[in-house]
Amino acid sequence: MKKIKNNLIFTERVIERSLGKVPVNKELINIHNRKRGNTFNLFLYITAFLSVIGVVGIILRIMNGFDDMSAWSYYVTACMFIFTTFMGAPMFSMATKVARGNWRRPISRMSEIFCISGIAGLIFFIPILWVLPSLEDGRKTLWFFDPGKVPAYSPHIWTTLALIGFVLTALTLLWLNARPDFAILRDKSKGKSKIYSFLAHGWVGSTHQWGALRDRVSVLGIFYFMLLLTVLYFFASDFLMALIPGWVDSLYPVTLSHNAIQGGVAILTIAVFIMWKWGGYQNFIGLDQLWGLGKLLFGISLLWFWFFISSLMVLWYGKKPNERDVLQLLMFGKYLPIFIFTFFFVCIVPFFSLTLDSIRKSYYGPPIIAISVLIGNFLDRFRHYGSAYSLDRTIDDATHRFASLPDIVIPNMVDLMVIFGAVSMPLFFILIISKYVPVISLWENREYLLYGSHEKYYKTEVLVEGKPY
Amino acid sequence: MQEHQQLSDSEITEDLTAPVIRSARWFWSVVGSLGFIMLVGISGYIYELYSGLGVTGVQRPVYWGAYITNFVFWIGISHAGIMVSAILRLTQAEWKRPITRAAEVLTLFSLIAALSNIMFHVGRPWRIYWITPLPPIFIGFDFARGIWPNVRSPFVWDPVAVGTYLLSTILFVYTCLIPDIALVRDKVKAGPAKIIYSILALGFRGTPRQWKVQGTAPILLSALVLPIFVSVHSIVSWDFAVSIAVEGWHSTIFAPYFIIGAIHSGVSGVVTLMAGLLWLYKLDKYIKPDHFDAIGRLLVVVATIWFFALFLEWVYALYPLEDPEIALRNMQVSQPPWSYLFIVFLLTGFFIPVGAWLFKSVRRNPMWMFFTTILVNIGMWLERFLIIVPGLSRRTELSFNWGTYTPSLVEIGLVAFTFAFVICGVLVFARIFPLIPPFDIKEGMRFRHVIKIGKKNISAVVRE
Repeated sequence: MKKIKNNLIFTERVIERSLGKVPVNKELINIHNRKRGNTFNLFLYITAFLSVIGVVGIILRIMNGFDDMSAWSYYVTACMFIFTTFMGAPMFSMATKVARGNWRRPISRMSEIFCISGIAGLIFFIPILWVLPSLEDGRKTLWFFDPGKVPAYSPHIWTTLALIGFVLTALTLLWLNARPDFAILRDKSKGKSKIYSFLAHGWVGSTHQWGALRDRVSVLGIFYFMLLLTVLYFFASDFLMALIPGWVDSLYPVTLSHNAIQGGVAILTIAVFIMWKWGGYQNFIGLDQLWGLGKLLFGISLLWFWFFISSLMVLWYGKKPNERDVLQLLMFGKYLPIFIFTFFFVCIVPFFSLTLDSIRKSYYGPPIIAISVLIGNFLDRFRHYGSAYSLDRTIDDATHRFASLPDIVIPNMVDLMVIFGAVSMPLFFILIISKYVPVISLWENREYLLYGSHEKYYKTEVLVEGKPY
Repeated sequence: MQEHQQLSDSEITEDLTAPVIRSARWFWSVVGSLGFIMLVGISGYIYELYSGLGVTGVQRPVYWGAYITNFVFWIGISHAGIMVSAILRLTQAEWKRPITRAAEVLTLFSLIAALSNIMFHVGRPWRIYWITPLPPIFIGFDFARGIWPNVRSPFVWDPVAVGTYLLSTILFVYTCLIPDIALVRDKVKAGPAKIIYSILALGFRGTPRQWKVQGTAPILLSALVLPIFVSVHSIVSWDFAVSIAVEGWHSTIFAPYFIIGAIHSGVSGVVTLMAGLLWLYKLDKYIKPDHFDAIGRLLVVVATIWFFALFLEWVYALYPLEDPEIALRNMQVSQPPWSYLFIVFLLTGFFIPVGAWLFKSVRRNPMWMFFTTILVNIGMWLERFLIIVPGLSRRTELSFNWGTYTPSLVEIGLVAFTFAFVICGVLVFARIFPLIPPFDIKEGMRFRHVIKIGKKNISAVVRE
């Protein structure tokens, strides 16, 4: 490994190539086109196997029926984990593009590739439509249910439509962003040129096409963000809050969206580390990227605490019977150990470790902390969805409180199969797609060569970056 | 940033210290007019102190009126400084350079204005220290009190949070000012002013070590002040949200909703100030349409997030389908005068400005930005008013407790006082210290480069 100079490993190396030593695209295309190694294939087979196990788990869960909602606790948790982790990762690309951060360039495609996980999310979501009761059971709903005027299956209908729109937007966004790269590969690859020709869809790199690409990516990026918020808003309300009588938390949809972005940054950090360590991209991914992700993770973890305390303060101070019940259910009752572990993994660990320069500004620190965040994120989903789906919604007439609080559901074999499947299936799709879509954007890095240069500045040499509109 | 004008150090020093060295012609007339408004407000306050709170419009059941609205409004405006200065400093946004000082100063004076509203609101301000439990050493002086202040009360959180914010803002402004004070020290003629500037400059001579500390300190302070910035408005929001007695207040989204609203209002305040300074001091070499464009795009994002929070606040207020809450919301949207105010609030706070900012020509035009950002702050003042007053004045089952609220002349005078005070404070500050930091601008000039791509010149910057 070459000694890192001024933490600008990526930019310096790419710029070295821009000086004519090695064309950056050639090296990236070579890495993309080379035969995948044994480690990649092993990982592909493992995720494929676990995905099949997951599908078997889904079938077994469906065969057990939909009446016992508590049996679906882990299933719903796993499905929500996909949406609040894998589907949050593409937000990194959109946000850093808006902020015109050049350090994003080697990793923005990786973040976009996570869009493919939406297919796994959709597969896992379908059975939940049968688990969630219709509005005729009398629970509160966003749709202000009025029999005869509002369909009793409003949450099912509108969430499904939003979710399909969300996944389609994600896939379109991935394709649009990768289209110029498909054109490069169409012209430079042997064997797969027909596929790339189809995917490039007549891209020739005209001024008009570039202008249209930028506009479409911007508009779709905004759509993606809005649809992410919408889908998570439905998941937070009709698929969660409505199942816990008395829980009115206007902040929770925002918290869930924040959790999705936190999970997304965490899983992206791990993916970037894998690309750097084992993917052969050490010349393109450097400390700048992992350090930047570490900083993001730190900031987002602080926000987790703020969202948490903002809800807690209001509910705890309010002390209405329903609010005390909700706190008892989600935090201080039987789910207390889950809450403590969540808090530890998702807030304490990132905060206290990423404060330290030596951890934040390192190759190994941010990915290790990211694993902690992902564990915490899963526990947080379980704390909410697990408790909501196993709750007996009977209210005691005398005390106006829950008749009983549920015990923590212990996962059985089917639950474990579903959990492994939910984690593996998106990874399997990502690995498959990475064979066709370059995991480092060729055009974005090529573009950077135009904007970045090394110049002499008094007695030293500095990096000069252009930031056009 | 596509537009750039390379300026020499002496030109920058001359331009930016000119308002400090000599008064502009309009200065005393403007400050005098603002002073008159402040005098009217102070007279009203003396009258209120003498006669009691009865001279205000607050009465049972509406005990919180224009003063508390104004308090929340100015706390919101105060978020401009930290948002623009600290966050943009941490993210190394180059376009921040000419506007950071103005934003920080706006924070300083709006915080003082906010605190003054608390003084106006309490009937006997000389007893305001009663809110704090005195340490045993003082009990000897005050046996008769016999009170046990509730330190857990939200009303104790406010002075602590706002006081900390004020102290850290003063520290922030002062630390960033030191090189410019030293510059002014060297420019003014010998006399009392030179002595004062010399003391304030803390012996700054521009040695490499001093510059190193000067470069690091604001970044460290930015990181330290950010949690305070978040906590202040969260705590102000909890004054309302932790209460269950008033419909419309008990909502968990209040903290983020208030913070994002504060940023919306505060950043708009900064734009208004920028446009004002541009005209008053002819700063068009420093404040460019690019700056308005960048901040305009930021405002579109902030305003949209704020609107989403407003949407959630409304949806979840109606979600439990409780009659009192529905009655309140119904009153807000369908009963005059609340309904008129609500429409004005939505139009001025979101739809008109954001609709306008979607056009690049509007974002790059200082005059349009000036008027649209004033509209935002009209909307945001009304937003706070519509959160506070209708909830308290709604007619409940007990008819003896019915009542509404109309601000009295004294309250209107004191609200006007706070606006005059903040504008006057910024102008007087600009008369004493440079409102655009010369050292920051000079640094920006050195960091600036141009990269030629094809036929286009792209503005570039040295990455630190």
